[in-house]
Amino acid sequence: MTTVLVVDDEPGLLRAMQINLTARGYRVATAATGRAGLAAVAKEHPDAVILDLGLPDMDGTDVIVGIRGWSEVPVLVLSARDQEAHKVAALDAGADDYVTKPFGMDELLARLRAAVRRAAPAPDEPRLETEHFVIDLAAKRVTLRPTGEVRLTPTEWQMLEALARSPGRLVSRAQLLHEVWGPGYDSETHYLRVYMAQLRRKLEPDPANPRYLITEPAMGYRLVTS
Amino acid sequence: MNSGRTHDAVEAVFALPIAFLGMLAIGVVAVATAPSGRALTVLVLTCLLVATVSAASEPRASLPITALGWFTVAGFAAAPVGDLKAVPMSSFGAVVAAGSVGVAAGVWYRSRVARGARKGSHGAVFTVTLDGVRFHAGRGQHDRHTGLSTRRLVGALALAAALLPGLTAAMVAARGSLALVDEVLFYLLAVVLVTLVGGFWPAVAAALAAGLLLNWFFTAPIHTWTIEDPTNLLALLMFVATAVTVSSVVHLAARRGTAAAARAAEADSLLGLARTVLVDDRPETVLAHLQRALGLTGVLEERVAGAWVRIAGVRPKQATVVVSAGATFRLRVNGDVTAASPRLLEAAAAQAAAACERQRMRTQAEQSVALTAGNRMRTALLAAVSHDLRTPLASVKAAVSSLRQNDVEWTEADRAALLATIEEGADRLAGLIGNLLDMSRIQTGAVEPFLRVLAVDEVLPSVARAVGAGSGVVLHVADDLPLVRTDPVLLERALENLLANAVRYSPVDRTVQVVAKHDADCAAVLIDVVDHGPGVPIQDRARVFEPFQQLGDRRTAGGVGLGLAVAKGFVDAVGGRLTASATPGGGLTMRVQLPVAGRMSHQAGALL
Repeated sequence: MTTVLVVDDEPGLLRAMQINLTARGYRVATAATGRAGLAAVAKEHPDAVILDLGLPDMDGTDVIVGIRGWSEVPVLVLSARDQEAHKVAALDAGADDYVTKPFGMDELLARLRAAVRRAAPAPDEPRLETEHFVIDLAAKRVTLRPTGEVRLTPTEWQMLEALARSPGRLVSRAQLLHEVWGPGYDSETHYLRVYMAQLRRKLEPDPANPRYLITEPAMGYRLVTS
Repeated sequence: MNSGRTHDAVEAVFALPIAFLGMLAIGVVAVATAPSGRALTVLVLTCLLVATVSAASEPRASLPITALGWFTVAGFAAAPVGDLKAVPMSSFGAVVAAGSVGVAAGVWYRSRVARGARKGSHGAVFTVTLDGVRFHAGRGQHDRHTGLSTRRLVGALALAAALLPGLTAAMVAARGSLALVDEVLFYLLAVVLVTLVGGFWPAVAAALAAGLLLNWFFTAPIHTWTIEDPTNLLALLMFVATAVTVSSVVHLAARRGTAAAARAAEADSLLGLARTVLVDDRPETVLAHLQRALGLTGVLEERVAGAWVRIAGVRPKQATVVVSAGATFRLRVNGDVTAASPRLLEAAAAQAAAACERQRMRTQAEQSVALTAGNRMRTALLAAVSHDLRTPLASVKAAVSSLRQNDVEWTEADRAALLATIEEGADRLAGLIGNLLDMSRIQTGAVEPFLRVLAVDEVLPSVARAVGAGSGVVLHVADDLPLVRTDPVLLERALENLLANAVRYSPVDRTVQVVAKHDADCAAVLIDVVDHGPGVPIQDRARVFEPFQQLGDRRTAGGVGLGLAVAKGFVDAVGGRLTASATPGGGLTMRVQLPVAGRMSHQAGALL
């Protein structure tokens, strides 16, 4: 059974989360302060953490740092702070995704599933199918429906692969740059924009309104397959 | 004040000793070669010397040079040496002519060199342009070449007029016991004294007079202009040359002293100016310093849109000096500027302009600091308000979006819990929005209390019910409470906020007490809201009533920090008083003091 730890000081929200997650078969642990949250991570060994940033005793970003000191558990930030600086700080501290309040329950659950999936052992499913294209990770090939194979440059493929390995999950800009270009390119975010635009031109039915390759402003990119 | 010194004539102070020493040399040669030395050679050499020195020196020096030249010619030209009667008038004419020609040539040459550059006659009104400083000065009361006042010149001449005849009379009386050399030294002493008092020119006059006196009274044959012994004539000439040289040296030293003193005064003044500006750098301070140190009144003006506008100081009726500082500032000075050097005035103008600019920059810096603080405050406020609005909204939306999902079958209990969450969130939003609106009413002065007489126990139970449902609020209301005159709605809102705050900070296992009683002389009803929470340090207690004290989104129990500010605003509006104090044993006690009806205070009336 997948265990999710929810850390938030808002009792109403804690209750709503608990009801939802329990209804979907998760085991839920809750904490109302950062300290209690850190203790619960150690005690409950959750498979994912949903964390509010504005906690009464300490800043949520420090809680992330505390968790990352010894655990790789996926951390999903849930915060009323919607400024870019806060998002970047939380992701840099080690958060896996960032959802701003108020949020829709479906979206949160989808992101939670993606975060948990990433942590789980690599799926034995090298094919990713969508309505418009099929990505074959084993054969390193993309086929458009119904026209056929698309040729991608090596860089384009590496980017798509990085996103397709955990569909639905946020891949941060720094992570993408590091994976595709290697160390030392962490601030060259315009590379990402250029290659993402090329990928969209080749894969998206309407490149101007992307449906699969989603930009998360200030944070990174996400490949949505549904 | 001397500009273009290279084209100036040699000063008399230097020219006269040179001429006199030259004539002494001619005399020595004439005596040494006598009797073969010829009158014509002496005449020609002397004329040449007179003409050359006259040409090179300032014109007034040529008079004594010509006079001494005539004596030299007369003394050494023909045997018997020193017999003035033997000298023809034509040689006198030659010397005078040489002097005149020399002076004319010198003046012509200098005027040609200086033509167009400047008009350089001493003492006239002149204009000097010095790094953008225009400086006009009238004739000063000091002779800038002697550095001495007219009074001292007259004094020195009077001294010479008294000293020389007296000395002569005394030495004539003692003629038997004195040698010529003693007499010469006494006269030298007199000349040096005159120099000390009156400077160079009185000394030259005194030296020439003493020479004539020596000739008439002490060189044989006495009581004639004739001198028997050529060595005596030489001694006489040597005396005059020495006297003039000594007085020249004394004069130069005195002049340097004067100049040094002037420079020291100027440096003092500049230092004072600099110090003044360091302590208090307003343009008025600089002008005050100018007034104090030099007795000058000044006005600082700035060029704005083509016209000069006064910045500081009183506009003088007439300005003798205008000093510009940069392109946009100028200093107009009125008063006697002779004591102030243009450098000093220039410095004062620059300082005044700089002070003015610094003052402006300081004002701007203060403004920008205030703006920055205001911006920071607004940003923090916005963050806090948006957090407080979003948090309950997030609960509401999470619960609503849960209920709308159709992939889950909710149990009755889950459904009820989610609906409760929605209602709670909506209530909190309503409370927050209510407080925001109340605060803006208070801050814009739009609160209008509707006062009526009532008993506080009409209000307290409903407030306690509204806030303290299930959270342990205990009411203690004395049963002898007088009626108060207040607005029940505002009082209720104030008490709700106080009570909500107390409940929020109270530990779960401690109750909040509300105690209502009257004060000692039964003039007011006191309502204490007592909690046992963490309390507020005494130095922060006044600030808890300021709005938005809980900034940022990290707080112990939520709330932008409007509740207490709203409570204070409403209690003030109904003529009451709200104070914070420490609860004995820890925690905070809020006391609302309401005036008893019938003793309605005027201050509440004034507030309406």
